[in-house]
Amino acid sequence: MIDRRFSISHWVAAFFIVLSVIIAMLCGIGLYRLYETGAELERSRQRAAQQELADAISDLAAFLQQQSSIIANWDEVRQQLAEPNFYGYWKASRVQQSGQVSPLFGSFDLYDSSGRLLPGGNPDSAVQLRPDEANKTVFYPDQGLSRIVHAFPIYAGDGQSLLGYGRVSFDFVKAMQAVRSFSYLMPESLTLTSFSPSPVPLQELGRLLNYEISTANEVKMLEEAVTKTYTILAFAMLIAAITAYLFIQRLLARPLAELASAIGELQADEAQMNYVEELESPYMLKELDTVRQSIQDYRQKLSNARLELENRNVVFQQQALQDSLTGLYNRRAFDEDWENLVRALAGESEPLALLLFDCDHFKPINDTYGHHVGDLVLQTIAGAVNEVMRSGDRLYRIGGDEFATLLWGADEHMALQIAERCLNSVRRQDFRQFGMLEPVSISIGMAIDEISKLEDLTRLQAHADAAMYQAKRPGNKKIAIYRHGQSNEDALVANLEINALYQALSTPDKMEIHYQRMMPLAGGREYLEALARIHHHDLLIMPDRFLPVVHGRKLEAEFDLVVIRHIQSDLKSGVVPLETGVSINLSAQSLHHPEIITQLIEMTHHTDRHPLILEITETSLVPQLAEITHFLGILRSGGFKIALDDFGSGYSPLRYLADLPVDIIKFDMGLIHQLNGNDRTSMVVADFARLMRDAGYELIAEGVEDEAMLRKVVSLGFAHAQGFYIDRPHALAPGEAKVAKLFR
Amino acid sequence: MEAKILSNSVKAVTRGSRLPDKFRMLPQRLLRMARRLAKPSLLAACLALSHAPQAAIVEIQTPAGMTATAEYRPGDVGKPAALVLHSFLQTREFGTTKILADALADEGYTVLSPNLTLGISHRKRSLDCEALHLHDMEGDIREIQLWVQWLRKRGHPRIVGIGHSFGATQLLAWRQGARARGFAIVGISLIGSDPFILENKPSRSGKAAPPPKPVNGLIQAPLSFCEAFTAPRDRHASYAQWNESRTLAALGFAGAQTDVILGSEDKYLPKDWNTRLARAGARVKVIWGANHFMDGPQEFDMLDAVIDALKR
Repeated sequence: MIDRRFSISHWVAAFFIVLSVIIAMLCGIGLYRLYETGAELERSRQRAAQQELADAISDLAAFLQQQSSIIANWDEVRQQLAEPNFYGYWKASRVQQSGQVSPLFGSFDLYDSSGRLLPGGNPDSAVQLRPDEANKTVFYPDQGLSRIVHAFPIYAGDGQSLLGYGRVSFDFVKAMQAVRSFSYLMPESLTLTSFSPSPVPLQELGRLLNYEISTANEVKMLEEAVTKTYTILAFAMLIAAITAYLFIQRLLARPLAELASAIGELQADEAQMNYVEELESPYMLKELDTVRQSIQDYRQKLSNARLELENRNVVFQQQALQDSLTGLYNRRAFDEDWENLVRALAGESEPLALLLFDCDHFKPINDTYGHHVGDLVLQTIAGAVNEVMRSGDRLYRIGGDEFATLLWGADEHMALQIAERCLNSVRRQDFRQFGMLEPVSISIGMAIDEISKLEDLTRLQAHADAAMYQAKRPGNKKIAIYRHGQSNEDALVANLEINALYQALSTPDKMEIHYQRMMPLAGGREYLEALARIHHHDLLIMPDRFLPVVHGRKLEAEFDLVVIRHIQSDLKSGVVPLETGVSINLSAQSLHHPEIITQLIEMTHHTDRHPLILEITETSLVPQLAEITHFLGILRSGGFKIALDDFGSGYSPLRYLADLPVDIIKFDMGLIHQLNGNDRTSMVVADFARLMRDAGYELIAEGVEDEAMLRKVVSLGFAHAQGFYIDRPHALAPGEAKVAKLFR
Repeated sequence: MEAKILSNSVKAVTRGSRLPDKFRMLPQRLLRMARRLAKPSLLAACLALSHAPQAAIVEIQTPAGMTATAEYRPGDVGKPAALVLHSFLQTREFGTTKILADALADEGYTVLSPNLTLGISHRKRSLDCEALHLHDMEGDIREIQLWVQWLRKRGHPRIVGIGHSFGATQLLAWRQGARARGFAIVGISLIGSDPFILENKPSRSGKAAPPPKPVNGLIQAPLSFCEAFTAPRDRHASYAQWNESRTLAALGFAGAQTDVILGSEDKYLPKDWNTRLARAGARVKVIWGANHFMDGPQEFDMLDAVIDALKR
């Protein structure tokens, strides 16, 4: 839709343009009328000049008649005609002096009654007067206008007796000028239009003449005066219009436009408060100035209100980005800085080090000494780390006991220095003031890479997580830098697994328990090892994918609780065949969780039908062995057999066997595979197996994948064997228990 | 020689030859004073009302083939006819002559006022001194003779010639030449053809300058009031010979009365002119305060003197 509205400036400009056009048109009409009148006057002057010529010729004729009469009645002329003996002398000395003959006549001569020039006459004059010249004024074209001849008869005093003729010649133009004052015709411009071979009478001379019209000075002056007046008027009107336009612009249009713009700004730019229109200068119109002041006041109030709002927003924002416990930047700030980082890179490549800090054994501390002490520990760690950070580096609290920082432009050496500073700073803290007996440490996972896009940042975070995973492993230096090739950990923070895990934890239906047969080799009971699987978007995610996440996110207790509930459900529902035992994997971390303990104790009701094994994974061991030992003793007394899982994977110190109440040692698959060889390693493993068996432990072999390996473990006294050669993990369907029993 | 009357007014003149009695009974002096006080046009109107004799222009042919004209106003039969002749180169319309003719006509005198042709037929205007003068004294005298004859033929046996200035001299010359005994002449401001010299100039009685040599047959020499009278030498001489001496001599013509009226203030007259005139036989009347033209208040004295002379 076309906006037909125009600003007042446009209307004012349009008004003065229309006004100027009207004035210009009026001036134009006036000038047109003036020039039209001038043209009419010119035509009138043409006619008047024509009439003037005719009148002048008539006047000339009358003049000639009068002059010829004077001459004819001059006594001395009659004297000369009567006695022409001294005519030459008389004509030369007397005629001009007498004043009887007009000086206009260039020549004057007398002829006798027979038309003969008197003796002594002008040599240039015709000797014989032609009869047709008598009493006529004749123009001889061949002699031009300078010689017009007028001849007239001279009679005696009685008026009847012809004495002779007089003949004068004269310049036509001069004669015309003498007999008449011309107003229109310019006598000096008289010229002949055509040539006539024969003499022409004076009365007919007019049609042979061409002439110019004198300039009508009055009309010309009037035209000039009117034109000048119109020009001055036009200029005056133009100046007046411009002045009025500027005045109205200043008085009305500009203030209105500024007010409109200011109101528009109030509507359009309310959030920005960037007022382009300054309304400081007062307006000349009182009413408009009142509006201006109102808007100005409104602006001021609005600005104050907005300022206050912004201040509050800043506070809120700071609060939103600040961790209330430690005063550090929180997870939201970390995420925003991540986004800003992506934006700031703009395709450029920049080295960035991501350091993740994690408090070791925080949960046990929290559980042991209470949340208050836990909070104090976190505050102390935050302060200790933050004080040794570089100026400008931010320290974020991104989780319960997890911290992070981003080091721009830091290489591995610098990142390592900073990490060590942090580590030492925490070590220097005195946590005994909080009533703690154990030392508190942190683990630091670092990842350094050239960052240019979001994917790089995501990858960097995953690498740092993986490094943290490494740093957390018992026996490490608490500081780990991600090295390329840590493929297991690469998948650690894969979004798919993380999402799947969290969904499985929040929605237990996503979790599925598969069971793998642990075949008895010496007539003992048969067990099924419960192995967790997660359904996610039609995918079945295996433990090797999500367990690192469980450990990385310290979700062992939550995860184990869900698994235990599923197994308990399977036991209750009878899916697990009777008399078949179930081996349950349990993280050592979970043994600190009362709910898990409670849940496991509840499961002891099934031990009469389903013997239960609790497989403690060595990688999850924690320093509080006493506590774990206590809980394991309770469970053991309830009917559980305790198995040390993944034995031989390289991480299990032998002292665990001494400290923990372990019934079963479950040899790691890698260790079992060593038995296939005939080398020294095979012999050591075999001897070790015999040694453990001799020490009273039951042995379970994992990863049995062929018959030879099965025979080997049988020969070594393993109580159970487990592996793809025997059975693959699978879900138990209702009724499968009977089939399994029959199968056995 | 034939003369003709150009208008039919002669009969009218005869019928109205006398003024009404009431006018004729008025003292002549009062009438003249009235005319003096009146403007010329008004005077003409008064004259018309007074049933004055109607003037007529008469013509005569001269032997030279010229047509001469004169104004003729017939008067009382018992009174002499007055031949009023204008001064040198003038016409009958000249002031002094005109007044005189009119006054005499009013007095009942038959008046004939000719214009000498001066070689120009039907001459109507005075001739300038600078004009080419082809006339001579003899021609003028012949024309006077013609007009005297014309008057006599018109039945005027008693004729008095009244001339002004050189006109009076020309009358004297005619009378002498014609031996016209008993032809009385009244000369007003009578003067010879000598060049005019003011009174404070040396007397014209001195030796005359020698005449200039003619150029193209013409000479330019002083004559009367003309400083350069242009004429053939003989014609100039015809006038020049009628100088003071010859004029005075003509006054001695036996058997004729000559009255001369002079103005005491006439600056053109020779020294002791009145005395010399009287000595030459003229009856001289000097009008005190009058100039050569007798105009002004002295005009009436001049007229009275003329009438007095006529009555004698």
